[in-house]
Amino acid sequence: MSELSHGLLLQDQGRLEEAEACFYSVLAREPDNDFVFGRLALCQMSQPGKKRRALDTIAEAIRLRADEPFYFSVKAIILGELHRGKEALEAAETAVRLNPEDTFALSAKANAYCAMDRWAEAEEWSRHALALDGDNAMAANILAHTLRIQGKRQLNAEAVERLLAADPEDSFAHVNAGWTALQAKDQARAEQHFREALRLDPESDMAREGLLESFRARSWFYRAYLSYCFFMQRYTEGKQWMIFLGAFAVYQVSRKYLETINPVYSGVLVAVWLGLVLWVWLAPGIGNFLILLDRSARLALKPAERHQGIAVGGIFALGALATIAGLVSGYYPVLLAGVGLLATTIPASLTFGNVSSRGRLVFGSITVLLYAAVGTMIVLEWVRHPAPMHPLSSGLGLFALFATVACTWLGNIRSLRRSSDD
Amino acid sequence: MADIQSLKQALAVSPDNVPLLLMLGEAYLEQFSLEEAKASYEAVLRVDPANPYARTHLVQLLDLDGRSSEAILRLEQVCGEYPNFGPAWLLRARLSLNENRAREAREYYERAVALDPSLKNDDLLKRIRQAGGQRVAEEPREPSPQRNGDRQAGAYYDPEFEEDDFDDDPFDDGDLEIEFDQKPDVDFDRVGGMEAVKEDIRMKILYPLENRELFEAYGKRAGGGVLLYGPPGCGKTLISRATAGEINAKFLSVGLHQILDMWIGKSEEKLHEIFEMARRHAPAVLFFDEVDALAADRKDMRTSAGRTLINQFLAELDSESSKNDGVLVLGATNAPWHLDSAFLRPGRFDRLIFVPPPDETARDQIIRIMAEGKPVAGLDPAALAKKVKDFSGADIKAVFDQAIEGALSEAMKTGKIVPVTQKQLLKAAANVKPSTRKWFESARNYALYANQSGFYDDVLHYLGIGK
Repeated sequence: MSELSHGLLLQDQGRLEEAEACFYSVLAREPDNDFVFGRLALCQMSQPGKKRRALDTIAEAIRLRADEPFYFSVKAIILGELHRGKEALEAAETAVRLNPEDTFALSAKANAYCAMDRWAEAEEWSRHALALDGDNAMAANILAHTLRIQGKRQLNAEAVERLLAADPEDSFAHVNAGWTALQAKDQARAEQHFREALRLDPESDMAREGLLESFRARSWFYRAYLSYCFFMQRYTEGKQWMIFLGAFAVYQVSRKYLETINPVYSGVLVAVWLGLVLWVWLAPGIGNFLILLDRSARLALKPAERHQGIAVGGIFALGALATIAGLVSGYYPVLLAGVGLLATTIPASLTFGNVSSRGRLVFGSITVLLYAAVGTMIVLEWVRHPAPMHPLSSGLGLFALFATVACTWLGNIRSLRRSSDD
Repeated sequence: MADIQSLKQALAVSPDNVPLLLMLGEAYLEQFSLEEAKASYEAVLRVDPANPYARTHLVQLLDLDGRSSEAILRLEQVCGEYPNFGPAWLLRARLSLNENRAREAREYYERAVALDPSLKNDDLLKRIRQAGGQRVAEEPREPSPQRNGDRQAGAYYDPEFEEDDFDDDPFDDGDLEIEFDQKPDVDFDRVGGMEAVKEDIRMKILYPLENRELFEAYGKRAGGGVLLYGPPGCGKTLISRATAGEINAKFLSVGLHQILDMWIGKSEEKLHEIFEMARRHAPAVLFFDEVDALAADRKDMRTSAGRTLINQFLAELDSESSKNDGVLVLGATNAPWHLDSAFLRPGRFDRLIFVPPPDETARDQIIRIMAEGKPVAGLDPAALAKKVKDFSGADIKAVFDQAIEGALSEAMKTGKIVPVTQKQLLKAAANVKPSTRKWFESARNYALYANQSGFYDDVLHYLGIGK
């Protein structure tokens, strides 16, 4: 076994940093070895923060050998991971042109369509790959994934069954099966599949995240949130915005119309709308808080998810209790504290667990400012009670309201929720 | 390497400071600024015209400039004038190797290392060997009918190398390049802390060997294989060496590079040779570092070549008990989860020992060792040991390196030795992140999700996670 074989073994074992070092060492001796550049790019691609470097590496492999479809396919996958769908598709098409029967290239093309949220085309190209090689795990997994997202449940269930029959030890197949079960609202089965996926590959983040989702889905409110996510997943980003703006327009028109009939109806509609908005933004954090309450399930949470559970779910519970207590007692500083705490949960939900450093900075700053504003308001009103509200408190309250609403809009900007390397 | 800017600042104050000029030259050489490096070394020669360091480096620069013949001539001159100056001989070995004179290169290399053992360079030696630069004593080799026995084709016999030679310490193993300690100079008393690990080893290794008959009466076998696993840099090799010291056995440390070979069948042959050597020298401890690469899960293997090496390893471990009697096989790994499950069956690596990061006592001792010979003022090892919880030995070294860099930068400005303070060490400790954290993240996942056989119970216990 040479150093290169050792590197390949390390790569297969998922010890990517060590494999990377091995490949660099081989490249120091053989700087024109395109195969090693190709492998190195695969290694870097799967490590956080190294996708751009992977792109440079695969470019070097292509420079050394421009007629190898494998390198274009790898380039397409990297570009897909970087959310550069169009370029990914171009690279995949070059790979397919170089060898129209290369199933990896066909799968890379399907993957590029996935990156562009064009699920029907992704399905079509994964089927092309499978027609040439029925055992192609990548194509089969993409097919199962696209079928699930398009809501083709029966076909998806069959595809997953085939995947598991072909290789019951394939962690990724179990992840797919888990999501299928989750979409079918069978969280117990989903949990079973995700656990199996983790047993097979304990470092699979996809499996761990799936397991967490199945834990969260034990509560009805999170299952409803998941259904909303599954529904939205079917559409491209542009269509999602259209749906969101359309719903907002309908809400505004309805609110104004209801106001003309009876202001109470309009108020109810506003409360329902705000509830829905809160629910969409807070469900993951509240879900994590519920997991924290489960002694064994909480072990699956990463520190950032735990913090999110406390800062969102915990504070939400506290805020809700204070709001109710304030309303019941009529002691308005408590009511103010409750509402203020509830307001902080939205930026907090966008801060903890956010992979975008820019996003963490923006939402983190807003969260800190909100904590300061709410804290000042509570202390001020507590001390001054029963005097009428201080103008500073009113100003801070307005600011808190404005910041919270702004976060619900800013949170839809993908670049604020994605890693700069992704 | 010191910062060039700081060195320049220091030189502005003391322009004829030879050590500083040499450091500057080396810094330039490291970043391949050849003209600047040359100017620095020439400045040294203006102050000290015979300085062998500067002259040797200037020769190196000549060679890099493509003027090899001139470089060799000048280097011969340096070696002639300073026959005990190791770096010149080492450079001569390199230049000879570049000229395809491997035998000469080997001779010069040996001379350099004999003069200054710190010049040992495995990579250079390997390249010399590959170019045909064997030791003079190694050269007259013919395949031996007497010794070939169970050896495979391609193994050689040195007629001057008789069985009795094994009693000498140390001995040369020819192509295997393995260091074989007759008696390791380390035992448990010389390993600070790690009491839990030591106790584990006593229970799983030492007592069974000391009470061999008792064990045999219960149908158990002493010896066999033990797997040490844990985060990197936490003393697995040291504790293995100390184990050999405790049982007064020879210690044979085998690194991955000593086995892996690009030629098909050669790695298996080397592995067999190593086991044979250990058997001949029983009682012996055969220590395999990075055993996960030799005993990798066959599911992860692409090539059949890797699989045959695994099969060979299994066959060696399974050798009938009398053959491996007195041979304790220790394997160390950072990634036990990548081992083929076949290796964990009874008779193979059937005992597991978790080697966690050094405990407070061990850290205290490591800190004292690291501070030795360095200008450290007001060191409080106990306080520092508390601050470097979960740090590996390598991490603690990084703390010292960082603190020393700060002091060195001050020293260069003032031209005087500035001691490293406890405050600087504590500050460095806050900056260095323990490298073991990443290992525990992975280990935690395996312990939580793939611990059906209880393999990782010790990890769970260490992390304070109840089962």
